[in-house]
Amino acid sequence: MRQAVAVAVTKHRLDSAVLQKLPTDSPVVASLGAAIASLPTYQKAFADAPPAFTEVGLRYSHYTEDSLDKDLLVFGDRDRYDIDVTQLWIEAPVGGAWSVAFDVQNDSMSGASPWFVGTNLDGEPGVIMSGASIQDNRVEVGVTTRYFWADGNAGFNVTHSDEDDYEALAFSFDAAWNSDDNSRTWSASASTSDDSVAPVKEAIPVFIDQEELDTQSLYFGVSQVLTSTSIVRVGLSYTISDGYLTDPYKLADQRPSEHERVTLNTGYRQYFVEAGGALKMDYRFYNDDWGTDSHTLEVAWQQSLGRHSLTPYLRYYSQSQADFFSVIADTSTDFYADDYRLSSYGAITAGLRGTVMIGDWEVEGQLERYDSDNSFSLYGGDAAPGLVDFWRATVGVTLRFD
Amino acid sequence: MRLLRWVAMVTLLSSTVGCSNIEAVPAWERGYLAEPGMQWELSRREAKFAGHVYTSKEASSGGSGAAGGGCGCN
Amino acid sequence: MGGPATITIRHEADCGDEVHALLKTLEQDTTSLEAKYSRYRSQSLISRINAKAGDGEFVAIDAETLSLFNFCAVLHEQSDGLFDPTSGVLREVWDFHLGVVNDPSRLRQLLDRVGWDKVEIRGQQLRLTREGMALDLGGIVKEYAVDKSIATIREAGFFNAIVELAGDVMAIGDRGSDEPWQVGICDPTHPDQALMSVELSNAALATSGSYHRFITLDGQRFSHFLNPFSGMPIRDPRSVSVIANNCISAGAIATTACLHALEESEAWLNTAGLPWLMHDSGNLRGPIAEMIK
Repeated sequence: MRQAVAVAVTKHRLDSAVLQKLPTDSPVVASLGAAIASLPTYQKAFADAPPAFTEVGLRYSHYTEDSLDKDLLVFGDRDRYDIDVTQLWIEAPVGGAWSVAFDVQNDSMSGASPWFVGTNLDGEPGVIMSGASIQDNRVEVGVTTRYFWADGNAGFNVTHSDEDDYEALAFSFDAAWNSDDNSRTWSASASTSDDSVAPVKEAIPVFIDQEELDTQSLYFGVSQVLTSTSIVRVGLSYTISDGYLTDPYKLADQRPSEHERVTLNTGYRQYFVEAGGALKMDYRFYNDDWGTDSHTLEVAWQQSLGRHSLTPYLRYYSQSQADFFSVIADTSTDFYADDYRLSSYGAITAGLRGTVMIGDWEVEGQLERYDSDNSFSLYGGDAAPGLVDFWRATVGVTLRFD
Repeated sequence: MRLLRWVAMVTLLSSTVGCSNIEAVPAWERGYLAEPGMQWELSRREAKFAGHVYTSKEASSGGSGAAGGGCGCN
Repeated sequence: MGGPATITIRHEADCGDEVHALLKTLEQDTTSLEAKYSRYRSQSLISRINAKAGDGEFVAIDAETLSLFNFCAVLHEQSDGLFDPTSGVLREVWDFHLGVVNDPSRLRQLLDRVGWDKVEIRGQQLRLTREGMALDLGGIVKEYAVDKSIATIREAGFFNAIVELAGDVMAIGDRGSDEPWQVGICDPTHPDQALMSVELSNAALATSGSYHRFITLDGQRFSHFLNPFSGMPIRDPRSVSVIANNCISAGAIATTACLHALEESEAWLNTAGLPWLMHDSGNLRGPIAEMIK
């Protein structure tokens, strides 16, 4: 656990304290520090440690997908999904070296989604929406135990997710260990998920009863402290899914039964002492064996305001279309899909997040807008009707106590 | 194989990080690295939530550690 | 280690035994540091090195000792030679305990035995090249002991504690209910009165010198700090407190401030760039003093 240094001086105990951070080290202090850096006494100061307090939190998010453009709709209701997500968690230290976290999440969604893409009277592609409004509820429960030692930590997580038509049980293991001088951290994780799809046969005709999907994933990454104000990381993930990957609620959707995905991630954080803020930059490259590549770039500025913070952020995303995607599904081939999620498009997210500390309570609020369009894409490809835009708002409270 | 090619690339990247002769920043100079803004995630629950939203809306997934479970797609 | 030691560890009610054992370990660790580095103990590592001064023989030193000597070397260089762990032999002339000066004519002879450049470090071995030389790590070992105790406490899984060894102190975390640890800086003229209170979290405060402990020569007041070049005590006694992220650095900066002439002392402290407080002839100066104004 890394702890901030704080110093305050008061004339009398009850005077209001002038809290301040120690200045960055001058060459004199830095060279003195370097001389004893190899002493174990000065290496363990920021060694991994379980959280020193218990944390309880509750978050509520709502997102609303924009109604479909009238021009893009052939038939059905223009309204799309409204989703409410509630997250509840408790995380507590256990003994001197362990922590346990318990997470519950409930997603409640209602609305309609594209059924298939056809053409309107002018011959232009348009979406045929699922008829009646769909109601679904997903409940996810997860338990994570984590063990800390002087040079790292390791965690084990079990998560169960259940909804009307989908059930998943996932296990994951992750570990991070620090180099002797604590300036480099290696991390690795492995996970496996056992999913089962059993579509609800109500509003939309479906053609399967129950199908299975297995997913395995590996991640390996390394982060490096560059200076006293900057840190960088690089990571690689590999995921393979085997089983039923088709969307059962789409009329014309037939996907391969295997899906290999690789990502390369990089991240950089730079603290600006004068400004009291941090620049956060992340980039991900994604590539899969369905022919999709994507680039994701995220930039944020997290401004500290005493114990509070304000973070504006931007995200740009662009993907190329899957090999078997076409605007109107070509069902004469082995695999086909008209799902806008497999088309070529770009998306821009702009958001603002704020946190306010009141005693032991942290209150958070966040608002973001997601806009996607074929013209935002770095890749060519035809425009799919039915791309989604949405607003998302989150409020949350976290309480930390000994 | 796809995976091997990528492993080779990351090994290369991480060895560049290793070779560029970075002096270790001593523990007591790491106050700024402990700032909330210097953490990889905005918050763990926000990261989990955002990851889930994007995974359900976009073709890409992965990269933020091990994959979780559940669909919640629409 | 000369002076009282206080260790306070905030812990859950159910780990009292664990804390008790930890305190025992800390006491042993601190005692063994003293046994290792005290120049007053004939069996200490320092005494063994000093006993071999001028023999030409190297004495093997461990990694911990080597790091502490590296620290001395850096401080020696940064202070332009003012901080010198070999200057202790000059006390044969200046006896501050008795407040007397013994035969100042010996000074020239003693200065031949002073000088960091006369200490040879080769790998993990060290020797003093002149007979009668002596090393004294008294200026940094106490502060190092504070840091080492804090590291041990953290390693045992406690993150809220305060350690004080004879006026040098380091605090981590808080003392409960988000209340920071309070450290008083005393008024040397009225030791029972706190001049101000400093709140520390993950920071150390070290104090060097004492402006009311001095000797007077020809009407001039001198401190018990000695200039390794002239062999003379430093004029204008003062006490200096410095706040840093660790106690050993705070102590080193404060000690060196006492080795400078008064007019250069402030410049040195400002170059070091850490919060400081200087007390001389009743004047209170420095950023820490500014903070309460």
